[in-house]
Amino acid sequence: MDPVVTILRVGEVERIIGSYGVMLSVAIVVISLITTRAAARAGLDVGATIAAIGLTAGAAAAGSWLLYVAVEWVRTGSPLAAIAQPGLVFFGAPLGGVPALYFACRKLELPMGRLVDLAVPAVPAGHAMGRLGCFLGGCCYGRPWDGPFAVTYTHPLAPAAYPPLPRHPTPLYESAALLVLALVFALAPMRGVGRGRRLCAYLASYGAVRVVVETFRGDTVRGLFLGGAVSTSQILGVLVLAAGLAGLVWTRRREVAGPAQPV
Amino acid sequence: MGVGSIIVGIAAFLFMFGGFLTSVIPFLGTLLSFGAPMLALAGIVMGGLALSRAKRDGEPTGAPTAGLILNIVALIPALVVALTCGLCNACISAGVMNPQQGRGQPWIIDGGASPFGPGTSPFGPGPSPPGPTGPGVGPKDAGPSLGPPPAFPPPPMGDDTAPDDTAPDDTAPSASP
Repeated sequence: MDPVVTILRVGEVERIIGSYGVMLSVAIVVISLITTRAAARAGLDVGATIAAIGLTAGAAAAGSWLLYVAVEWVRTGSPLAAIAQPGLVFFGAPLGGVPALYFACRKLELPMGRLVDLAVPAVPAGHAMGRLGCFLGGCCYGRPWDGPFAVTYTHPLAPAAYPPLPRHPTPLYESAALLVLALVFALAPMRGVGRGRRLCAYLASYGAVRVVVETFRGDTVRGLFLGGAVSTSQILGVLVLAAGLAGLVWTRRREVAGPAQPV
Repeated sequence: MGVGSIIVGIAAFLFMFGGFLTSVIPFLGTLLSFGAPMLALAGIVMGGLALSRAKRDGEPTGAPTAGLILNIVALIPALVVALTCGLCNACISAGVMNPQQGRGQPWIIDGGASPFGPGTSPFGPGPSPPGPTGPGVGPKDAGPSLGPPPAFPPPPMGDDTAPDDTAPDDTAPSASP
């Protein structure tokens, strides 16, 4: 594991290329390519789909950055300090991305439910790539453990190297689970596509995966409650699981009540 | 709109190189670094819209396709450059530009200043790490003592599952590359 892929040099300027950044870029490309291919196979307008993905990605990035600036502004009391320090907050992504996707689908006459369902195998695949970036970068690490799959980070720039103990490779656990989810959704019959059922099933399964993986995490910066028994992400995982199950029940009832109209 | 997509793609490339070269200049480096992928995404949106319209109207799709390819090709390195100064990589850049920061107790253990937080920007020196440094400073239950990190790039450390005696050596020099 190495948080640094390489150091680019142009003249006297040096720029470190980090593993996390590279893997996150790979993840975005993987999600976009798989979704576009699925949309083309399903007979959707490829150009409009690409435009919708681009708009959603841009709005998600902007939302993440704006939320980061807002949080830092509140924390430091200085808007300039918040803007000068680059950073992103993950929860800003859905706040910006979901309305943008809705707007794009309305404007470009794309069926949003169908597009989202088609993108379901791509999202866990890309997420798995992102988690590999965490593994390489040494963040999101596990509890100290001396088992057969334990990893010890020694790179001075890896947060998991402090202290350099054998640990659960939690990013690998999550990455493996996400790849299994991606395979299952890619191979599963496309029955129900367009009604949001695949999205709901993915949300429920990912929520469950996250709750389980969090029990092996060892980094405390993610926020702990009840004396360290529950993490922020576990609470969110339970909420996502509940939302996914509720969505499955709702879409099932709609299906039983009558022929569903694609969203 | 297809030609516009090509122009935006070229601008994204220029922003990317500008962001790379001005990475040490406050505000300008950030603006160019993060502006490059946003421009590329805007170009992808424009190219996608142009492709959709061209297919619907039966017009040539050359310019929109060229714009799309140009922007997708620009997006990948632009993302890498932008994310280099992003959340995780801000601490990496800060660690290399100011290796003395790494000589204190890790913030994860002592609750000190986070390397991901403000003040650790690659554009300027961050706060001094609290507490003494050197071997034996870590918590009692932390196993091996924590010496200061070695100079960057670190010496070869063998495989990742090596025993803890591969931990950084106290006597390692800490000169900036």
